[in-house]
Amino acid sequence: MTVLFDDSTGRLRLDEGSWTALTRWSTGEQQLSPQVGALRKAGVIAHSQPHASLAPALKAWRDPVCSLAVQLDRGDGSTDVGTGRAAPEAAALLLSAPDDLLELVTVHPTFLPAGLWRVLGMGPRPRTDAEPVQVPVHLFERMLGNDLELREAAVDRLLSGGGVDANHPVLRALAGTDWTRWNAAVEWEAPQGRRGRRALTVLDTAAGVWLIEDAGPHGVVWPSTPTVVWRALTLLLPGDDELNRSA
Amino acid sequence: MSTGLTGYVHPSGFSMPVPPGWDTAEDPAPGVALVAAEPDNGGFRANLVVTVDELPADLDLTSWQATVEPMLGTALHDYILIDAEETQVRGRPTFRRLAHHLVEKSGAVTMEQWAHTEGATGYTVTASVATLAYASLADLFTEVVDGWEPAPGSGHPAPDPGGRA
Repeated sequence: MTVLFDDSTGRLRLDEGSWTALTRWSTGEQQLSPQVGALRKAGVIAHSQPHASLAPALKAWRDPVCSLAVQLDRGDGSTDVGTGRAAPEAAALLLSAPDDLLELVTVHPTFLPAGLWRVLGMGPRPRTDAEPVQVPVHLFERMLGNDLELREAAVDRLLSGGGVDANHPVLRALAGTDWTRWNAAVEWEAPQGRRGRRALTVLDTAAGVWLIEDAGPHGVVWPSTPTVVWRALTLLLPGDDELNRSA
Repeated sequence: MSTGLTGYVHPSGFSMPVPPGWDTAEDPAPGVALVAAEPDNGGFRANLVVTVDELPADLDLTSWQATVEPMLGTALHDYILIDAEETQVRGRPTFRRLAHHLVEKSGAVTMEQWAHTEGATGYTVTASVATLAYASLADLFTEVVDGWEPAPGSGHPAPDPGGRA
């Protein structure tokens, strides 16, 4: 049980059980659990109130407009995941952190693109004039997997099918470890009981940035730019007209 | 030029289209030749700003912008450089950057800049918009910059009629 809270910055890192206890306490559930005691001791809860810096995040968690999910898979085999919820006043992201902890990142929704940009490690990238690549989904997952031998075998199989240059920058990048495939997704309750969803999957390499599009049994890897990715991130959250107003 | 934009000519001779209905202020401050801002809707007003810098004769576009970047990082709160490229706009070598920063009491702002030189004069067109509205105005900003013309006789070769490189 770990709760690390800096009340001067609002930075909160904690284990999953403590987070669950905090969110339950936040909904009014009375608890005398050791986790709640640890949350009080760390200053997360004081005088039966959450610390002021955490209140917007907890409110968004209780009464969200949409849910968020991010996942980063890196060429070196490391992975980070995050889940979150957004409301009109705040977007709260709970990210995986070292030592099996979770870190709570809270931003105003208008800062969500910038917050994600930082979390995803994005920045300016070189341009590429390479052609898009179409890859069967099962091969693509192997090409992005942790097993280097399976990666190479998947690339060989793709090349054996013809139509893809062995020197294509995507294939060259995936042969190494200096890449990240990340996905950011938002889901919400839309009118008439439907679910709304928007997602963005990006392959970020030192040679450039690529958008990954699911196209049935194939994925298409499109050359892109940080500008295009930023634009898509600014459109990730649902607009008022996309939400179920009666919810 | 798009029929949706209005031609504007600055007294110094440069010209560019501006969105109709936007308020304009000519030479409002030293080095600032033009500010055009969208009508006040209660939030951050998207705007276009043209700045003019006299540059040392030996400072080329790349070197100039290398000096600008750290200044932006210092001057703007929560500055994040999103994208940067040396490109061509109508045949003119142009440095383009996209960045995020925080404007007090307004929130997250996305800023897109195009800078180019005409002799010893550096021109920068800066477009700023509330971040969540960036997608709605990004193409308009590009259209504005595509219509930019330096002052006649400023020494730059005629633009490439082929448009963007």
